[in-house]
Amino acid sequence: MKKSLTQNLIFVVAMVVSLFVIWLIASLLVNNTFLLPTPTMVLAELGTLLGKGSFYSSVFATLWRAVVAFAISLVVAFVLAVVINLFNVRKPVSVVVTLMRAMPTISIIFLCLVVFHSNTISIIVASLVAFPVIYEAFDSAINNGQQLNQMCDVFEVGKMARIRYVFLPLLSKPIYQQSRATLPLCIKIAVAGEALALPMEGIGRDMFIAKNAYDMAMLFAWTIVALVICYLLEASVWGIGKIISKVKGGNEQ
Amino acid sequence: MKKIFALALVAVLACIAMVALVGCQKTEVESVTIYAPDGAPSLAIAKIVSDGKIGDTTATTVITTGEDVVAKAMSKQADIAVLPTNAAAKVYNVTGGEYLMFSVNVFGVLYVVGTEQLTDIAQLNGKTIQSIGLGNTPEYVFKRVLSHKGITVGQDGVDIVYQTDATAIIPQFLAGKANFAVLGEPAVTNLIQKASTKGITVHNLFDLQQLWSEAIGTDTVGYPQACIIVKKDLLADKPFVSALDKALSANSTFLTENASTLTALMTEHGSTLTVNYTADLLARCNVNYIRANTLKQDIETYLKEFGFVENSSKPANNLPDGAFYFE
Repeated sequence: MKKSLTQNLIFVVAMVVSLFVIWLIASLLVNNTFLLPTPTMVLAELGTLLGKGSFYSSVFATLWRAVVAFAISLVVAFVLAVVINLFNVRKPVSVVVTLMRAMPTISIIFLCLVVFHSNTISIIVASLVAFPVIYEAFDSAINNGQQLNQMCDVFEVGKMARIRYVFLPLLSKPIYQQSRATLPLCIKIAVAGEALALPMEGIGRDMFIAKNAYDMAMLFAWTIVALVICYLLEASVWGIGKIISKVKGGNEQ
Repeated sequence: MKKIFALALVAVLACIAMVALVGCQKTEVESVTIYAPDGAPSLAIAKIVSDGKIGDTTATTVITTGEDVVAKAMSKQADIAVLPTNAAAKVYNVTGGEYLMFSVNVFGVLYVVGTEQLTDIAQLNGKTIQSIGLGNTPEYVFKRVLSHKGITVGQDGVDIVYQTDATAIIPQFLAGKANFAVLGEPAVTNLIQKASTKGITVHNLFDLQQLWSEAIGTDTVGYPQACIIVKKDLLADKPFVSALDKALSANSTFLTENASTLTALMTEHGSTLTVNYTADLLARCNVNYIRANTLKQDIETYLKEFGFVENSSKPANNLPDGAFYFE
């Protein structure tokens, strides 16, 4: 297992270096630091950012919004998936979820701009985008265990017992999978929301400032920061999953 | 007698030949593409837009977003561009002097508006004000003005809440959620008109151009907000330069005489603004034409507010040298 981890790490490093070289060659060919800043310019900006206290508060603000949005989506999706399977109210909920999934993100942001405070818009928008994705995965997982549900009906198993011994085990894998997939999505949506709502702090706000100052190298630097955060979040969830799996002594996920 | 007559005839013929030669000096520039951002800056070239020509040169104008204009200039696709002055300086630095600043054409369009009648900008202390232009002209100009008046920015002084543009601020006023804002024309007029239909009175409180001039201690009212940059190669063509100068000089008169048809004209070339231009509004847009080389001091003072310095660690932020200003 240790060898596999090392191999994975080497692969990732090799990919990053390759991308770096391709980027360097492309920037030399384009020869226009506005259209494509060189990697060294961007790394220099990154270095400048890392030395500022405001960098860490911006990153924390965005991370906080994304995690809160994800948590809200997760909890609401869980509750809704359980309720519709307990009380068989799938159809009306499905219509609402379909509408939410189809609604353009940008129109949600524009509508929220007038009503809500700029600090909360990203949370609301990221929740509205993440919720249908998580809900569909949960509903599908419980639906696949319909035979268990029917068995509970036959043996008149109580609702709380059903949730604890049937639904939760059915949802453990989707919770893990959706955490890995949707947390990075929440970061992306939160950043986009921040660039339009301009809260007091946030990666999106800093990207907007860089764009307005025509500072492409800084914009690239912030983009790398957002990418790294997404990767670290996904890796963290994977790591937590591994630990839980080891503790439970179950199969690798 | 015959000799005198012959000499006189030769002299007359020589004069006619000289006049003919001078008159026949044509530009070698056949066509140019001009990019301009929507709003007041594009008014700076309204006459050129209308004529479709600069002298004998065909001029195609594209009115688009500010970011697109900068991108076209940075990628050297634009022959002429109307740009924010700070963006023009970056274009000069990044393209290695491909473009030179020809003239300054917009001297500020920012105003403080509010639902309460205030007589001094110091009365904004303790209030929340919406503003456009985070990281750009509105932020730097407004903060400089506040600093000059000894007003702090933040929760203890003036709380500035930034929005992406006027379309995010106007609904706040209409919903009664905002009372003060820093906006540019024609958005100011747009807000006042829209608010009045909802029974809300919005006053144009302070002229930031005037206050900026007081803050930096200059006689010129306003700041060099937007300018025209032209490709260096085109500026080597004297007839073209002469024609450009003539067209821009006639622009102010054109604006005044054609105010009612300006919106339609600009819409044809890509503008998305629906503005009813009046003489009053045009005056507040501060559109003018002054050759850049006569305003070097003012331009440098303005650029320094944006962090442009000599020998900057970031080459794009270098204060442009004298060669930037076309003589």
